[in-house]
Amino acid sequence: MPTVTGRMQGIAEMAASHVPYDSLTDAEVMLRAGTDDNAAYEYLVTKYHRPMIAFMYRMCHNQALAEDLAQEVFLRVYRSRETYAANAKFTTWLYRIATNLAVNHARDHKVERSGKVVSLDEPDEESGATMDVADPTLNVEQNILRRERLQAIKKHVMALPEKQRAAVLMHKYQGMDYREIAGVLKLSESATKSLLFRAYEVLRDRLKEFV
Amino acid sequence: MNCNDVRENLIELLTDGPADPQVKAHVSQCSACTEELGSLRKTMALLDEWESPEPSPYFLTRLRAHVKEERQKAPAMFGWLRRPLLAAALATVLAAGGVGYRIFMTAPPPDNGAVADIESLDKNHDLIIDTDLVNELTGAPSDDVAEP
Repeated sequence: MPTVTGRMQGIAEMAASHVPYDSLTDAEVMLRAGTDDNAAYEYLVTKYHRPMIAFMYRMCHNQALAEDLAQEVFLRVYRSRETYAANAKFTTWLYRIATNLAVNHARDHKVERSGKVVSLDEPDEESGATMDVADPTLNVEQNILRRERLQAIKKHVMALPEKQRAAVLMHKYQGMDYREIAGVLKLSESATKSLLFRAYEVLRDRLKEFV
Repeated sequence: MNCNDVRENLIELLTDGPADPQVKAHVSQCSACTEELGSLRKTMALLDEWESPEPSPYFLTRLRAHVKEERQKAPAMFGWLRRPLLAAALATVLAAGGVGYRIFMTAPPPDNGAVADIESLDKNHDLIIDTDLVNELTGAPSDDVAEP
């Protein structure tokens, strides 16, 4: 015979299960995914797959590889759904998985990468030509300058040490502040500020002709 | 706060997030730090030009297929552990195996006839050699067959 408290708890759980995911924190949605709520997992994938692919693309500079790595990130999230503990923000956990994967991949393929030369005259063979399509609002000279600038940005960001690169990409493109980046990279906040400052200083120095 | 203390903290002012009021106050009064912050902001703005490509339209379809595989794989590998009868049977087999192994390891080695015969022949050969040696020392005739 169910008690009144038990019945009330059951009703509360039923009501909670119908709460829209966007009214919950991502960590709460992830906890639901851990109870085999596939819609919760799907919600998180839908929300984060674009930024994750963009992050991986800038980490490895190859769209096909970026998508493969992003697939692996979300599969790891799925595999860990039952053991996930909401100790930190969901994105901190997500980007820690992503950064580890990208850095490990870069280390495993360092020799392959080091032999490549960035050409300014040919389409980007890794990502396809889509990124360097001429802007119709610019004249020929402006388009050439724009293309050179873009290649320089990619080249110098890619040349940063892995942790600096990951920190800059999370700060600049993923909209994360240094506190969250510190959580992802397992560094102190002051070490993260220092890491970011050094990275931006290097980029400022190497890109000064375009600024 | 001096300029050196402020430099690395300029990162706080690069985005709209909360920043240390002391850093803000210093920058507002220091032209060198204001210039430094301005050039960092320009570098950040330059990075805006690097856009990322659109994800492939099959990304989510592929991921769903992988997840489905994972879901099907999990019960196939560990699902049987959830069945009490199978788990109990496995536990019995493991326990019986353990007991059997223990008995086997503590039992004396079986008597092997062929090995015993070879050991006996070796002993006899050693005895004959010893007798020959004693005969030679005492001047008694050797048991060796004389060469023609």
